[in-house]
Amino acid sequence: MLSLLTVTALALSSPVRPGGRTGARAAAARRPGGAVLLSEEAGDADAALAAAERELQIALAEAAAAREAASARKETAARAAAEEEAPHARLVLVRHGQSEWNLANRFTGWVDVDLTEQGILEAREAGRLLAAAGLEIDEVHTSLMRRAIRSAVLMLSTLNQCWLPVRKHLELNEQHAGLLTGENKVSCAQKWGVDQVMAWRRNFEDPPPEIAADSAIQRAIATDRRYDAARVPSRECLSAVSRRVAGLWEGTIAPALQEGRTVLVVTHGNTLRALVAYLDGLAPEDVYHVDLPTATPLLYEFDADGAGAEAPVAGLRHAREHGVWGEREGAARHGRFLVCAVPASAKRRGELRHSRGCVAG
Amino acid sequence: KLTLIRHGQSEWNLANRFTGWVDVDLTTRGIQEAREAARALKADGTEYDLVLTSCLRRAVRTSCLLLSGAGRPAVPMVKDARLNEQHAGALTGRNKRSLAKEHGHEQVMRWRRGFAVPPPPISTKAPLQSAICRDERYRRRPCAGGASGGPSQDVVVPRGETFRDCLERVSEVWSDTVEPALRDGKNVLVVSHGNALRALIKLVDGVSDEDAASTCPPHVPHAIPLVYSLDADLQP
Repeated sequence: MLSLLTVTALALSSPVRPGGRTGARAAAARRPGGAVLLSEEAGDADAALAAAERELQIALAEAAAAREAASARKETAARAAAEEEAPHARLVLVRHGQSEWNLANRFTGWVDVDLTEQGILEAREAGRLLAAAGLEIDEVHTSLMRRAIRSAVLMLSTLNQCWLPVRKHLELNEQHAGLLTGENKVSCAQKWGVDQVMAWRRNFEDPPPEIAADSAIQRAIATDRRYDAARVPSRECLSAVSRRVAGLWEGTIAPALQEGRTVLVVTHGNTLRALVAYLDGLAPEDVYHVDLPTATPLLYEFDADGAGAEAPVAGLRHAREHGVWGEREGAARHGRFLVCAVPASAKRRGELRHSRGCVAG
Repeated sequence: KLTLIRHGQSEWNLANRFTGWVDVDLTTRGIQEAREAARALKADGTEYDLVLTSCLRRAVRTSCLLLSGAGRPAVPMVKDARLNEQHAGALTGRNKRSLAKEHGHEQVMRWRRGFAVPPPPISTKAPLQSAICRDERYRRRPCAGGASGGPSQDVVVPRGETFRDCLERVSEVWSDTVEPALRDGKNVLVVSHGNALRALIKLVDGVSDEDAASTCPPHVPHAIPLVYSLDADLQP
């Protein structure tokens, strides 16, 4: 049995390995038993020892820092609880970091594009913002799409909570963009007119035209293993997205909030629009103005009792109001954007331009 | 199909130190190794239905790199503390070579490869151990719906483990998660650590305890997928 194992292992191993000193040591390390300790060269071992000592110091320092952070968190929690300010539950909504087709300004829908380099940085930054807000996540929910999953994992990694299970749901996928999938947004506006395109992008009941089932894009999605082919739509309007998110909300997220947990939801632009509309009780014309920039966390805090507005979770109320979506006073925003005090870089300027809520924070 | 793979090279692999439950990260080379393994898995073409990994960053990171490199980001991933590396007790953080100088190379090999040889227990007050004991990930996490919600009771952080202890907890994972999935016809990928994988290999190959010391592979290479094609009786 052992020989079979070795054969299979060798068959699968890549022929290219980085060479040099570490390669030599690795080669030595593969010889069984005692050879490992005896074959290292003295110079390497001393340097490794020094490096090891440094790392032990770093590990100890990190452990000390973690202890301090934990006790600082406990202190804040104790103080807040004493002042009865600690919210019963928290919900963080984040959009994934910049994706390849965000950069190319194309409708993405269900195509599984990846994050750009900037998107990776944005996701890490979002993780740092969550850490700075003192949040300890209890549950993570994301979609089945790479850009969201990757963003979630990067955020968890920055929060040092990469051991948390990441729950992936089809219900959190982006709105299917139908025939617009892959189209550049500007050229769409030229083809169909700006108003029609904006209506497709933002209105509740206006689905884009259907994509043909035999088009390459749709076939790739429908045959993807992660989807049950019967559940892959050929287009979606925002109310359809709202309906599928509602199922997940009632069954999974709302109960977690009722139990007082901190839930992180990493998902996509239109899905977030539907979620926010549900959370803030927005009318369809206000949904037009809801636009979350990539990787900017929106924190909702819920109290078990209190004078805040009713939340769509039985028994919970919004802790406070932080602003409005768009222009109408009735479109209250109960979530708080977590942004750094000083706008970090040029990347944010373009995104923040058309979202009134963000700058106020 | 059952695929076992060890995480890529970690920082303390490079420094040749006993790691155990300390949460060190991958080195750049470890990341490269994981990416190469991902390419190998992609070329192999097997579609995985379940990924099992430990609670430790080096394994979780390797799994994420594997899935993303193989183009399968949405495969369900379960992070189970019972797949953690064998706890190294008071040897945690010690350099293997300097230990050999202190205790003799025979003793160190007994610690590393013995079946029921316990490492000297680590004090709960030691900084590395107290950081682990206090870590949130080993607290009970009751989760609304779904077995993938984390440990259902507090994970007791050991002060040191023998290979047999490691084998016991890995057997639990085998019987309650891996075996049912395999019997269901699913393809399972397990990303774990040196000794935990030696334990799994022992289980799959049906090696007895007496033969374990001599037959089990003494060194599981980093980030090399070991693919078992199992028949209906889960025999390789």
